Amino acid sequence: MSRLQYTLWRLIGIVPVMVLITTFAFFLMRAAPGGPFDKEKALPPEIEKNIRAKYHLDDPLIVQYGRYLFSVMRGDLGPSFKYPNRTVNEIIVESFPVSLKLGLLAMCFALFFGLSAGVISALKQNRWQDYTFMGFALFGVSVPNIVLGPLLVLIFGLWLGWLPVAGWESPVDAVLPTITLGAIYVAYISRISRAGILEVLGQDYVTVARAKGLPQRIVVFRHILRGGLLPVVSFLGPAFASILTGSIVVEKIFHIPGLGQHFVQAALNRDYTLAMGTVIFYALILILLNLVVDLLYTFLDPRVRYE
Amino acid sequence: MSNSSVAGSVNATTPANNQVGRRSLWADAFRRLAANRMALFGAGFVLFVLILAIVGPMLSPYKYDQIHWDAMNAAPSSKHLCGTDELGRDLCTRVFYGARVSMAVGVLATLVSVIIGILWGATAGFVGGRVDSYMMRMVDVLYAMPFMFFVILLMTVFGRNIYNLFIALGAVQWLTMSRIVRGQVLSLKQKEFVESARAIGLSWWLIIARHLVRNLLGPVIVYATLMVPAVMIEEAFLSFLGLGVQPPMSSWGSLINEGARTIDLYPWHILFPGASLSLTLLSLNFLGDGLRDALDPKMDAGRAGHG
Repeated sequence: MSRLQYTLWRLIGIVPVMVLITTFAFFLMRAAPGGPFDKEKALPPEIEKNIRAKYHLDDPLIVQYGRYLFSVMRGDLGPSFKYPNRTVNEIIVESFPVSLKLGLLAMCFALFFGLSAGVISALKQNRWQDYTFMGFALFGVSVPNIVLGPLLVLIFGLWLGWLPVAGWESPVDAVLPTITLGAIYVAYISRISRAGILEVLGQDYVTVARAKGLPQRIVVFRHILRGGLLPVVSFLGPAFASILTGSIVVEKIFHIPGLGQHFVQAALNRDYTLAMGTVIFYALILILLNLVVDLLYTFLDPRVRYE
Repeated sequence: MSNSSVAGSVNATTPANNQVGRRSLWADAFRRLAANRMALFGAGFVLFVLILAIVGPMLSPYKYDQIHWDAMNAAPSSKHLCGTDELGRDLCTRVFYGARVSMAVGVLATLVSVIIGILWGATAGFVGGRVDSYMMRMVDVLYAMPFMFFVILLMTVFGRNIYNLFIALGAVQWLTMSRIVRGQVLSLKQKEFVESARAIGLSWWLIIARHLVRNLLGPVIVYATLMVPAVMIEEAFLSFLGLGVQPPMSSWGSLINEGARTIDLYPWHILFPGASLSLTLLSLNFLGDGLRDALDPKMDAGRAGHG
């Protein structure tokens, strides 16, 4: 199979998966006890009837499902139940760029520091640099972001007063959220890249490169890194998923108006369409990102075959 | 004595002799574990937390939901070792009580996902062929899903109580376990001792019970140990968002949530639950890494534990 065929095949494969996710999300939310319009005070029956008619909630379930599925496939996630006059698409378009920026910043932060620490640790195996970085990495994977975030706020925001503790206006607002979200991936990436490079170091082609008398710099950048960093690439897929999730908490800690905040609010408020819409949207993004990672992998490692 | 040490090294280098030799695989693993100080520290601390979680709330003179209007937000003192929270509840008792909830969720949700993972992976690996490829393709697809979003949907739909927390977290964690078990089953099926057991005419059930289960146990224990901290982070994450354990019950996540809100005035509100959670996660990671080195030195570092 050529690369183009493989890509097309994978793209076609997205459709049934998205149908499945939409179906699952739809019936899950419909199984929920209590409606989206349950307030402390019951609505007058006529008004409730009108609202239900407006959102087509009185149609048979299967008709509602068909209508929803059809509109999702066209890219229309429907109106929000809690924010009148706003569609789910509008809310996503408005708030997702915020989450995206935060996620990308955290990813760059994690890649830069994680790779640096991992490469240095591997090249200086069992020396103090290795022990220092790996010690930090071990602590890094053990301090969850819900602890790290408030801790950073306390130290750098409240005690030292160096950085703002909330908001999303100036670039400096992004410093603490980026660290909070990215720290754990610095730890993971440094461990994975260290293990990957150590595995490559013993390979024949590295010995050959050294024996040819190539300078260390070229051996590292041209020979060792290329093979040794492949495990990091395959970690990127799960990392994206988990950064999107972590973003929910970080947005809450630092009061950032991203999609994660909207999603939690939607879940708490039983805003069915917004919650379903967010899940469907994120699922699509993750599937596409995973496809990109897989394709990237085939470019970097010619041994990989297309299945 | 020099004699026994020679015998020991012979046994270690010829695994085929394990059954007849004096040292079994398990005794060997136990020795390796006992030599690992980090793992022992981890095991000790986890045991300590478990004991505190069980007896702590009983020994404490206060109840976890007992309100003291005269001692709100009290600083740590001899009367309240960790201080009190906004309602004057003894924080020490609440942290102990939270340990119960967090540990219980960690262990039970892991158990749920271990069971699902083993059943799924073993079936796929055992039956093989088309069934195997369909089952594993499904796991691949699920891997790309934004799990925590589904967990949040599940918690919203089925109510925010602790039993749903076990099920929701368990239901999404089994994927890696099923992959590990399938891989093991596939390779074990090819092994000579299974072949010879079949040649003698042992029934499949006996082969499963006597040979496969025993050989699967190692990787399953290792990965389950590494899954507990992952599940505990997820529980803390949900409770932090207000979607997990509900007040007046406490878990470390919900205590961290309460603490983060008052961090500027009463930093100890977050200090004790945050430190408890982080130290427990660190210990579990030590223990899991140690078990992995002891039971299966070949297993890939850094891969397990996130997903």
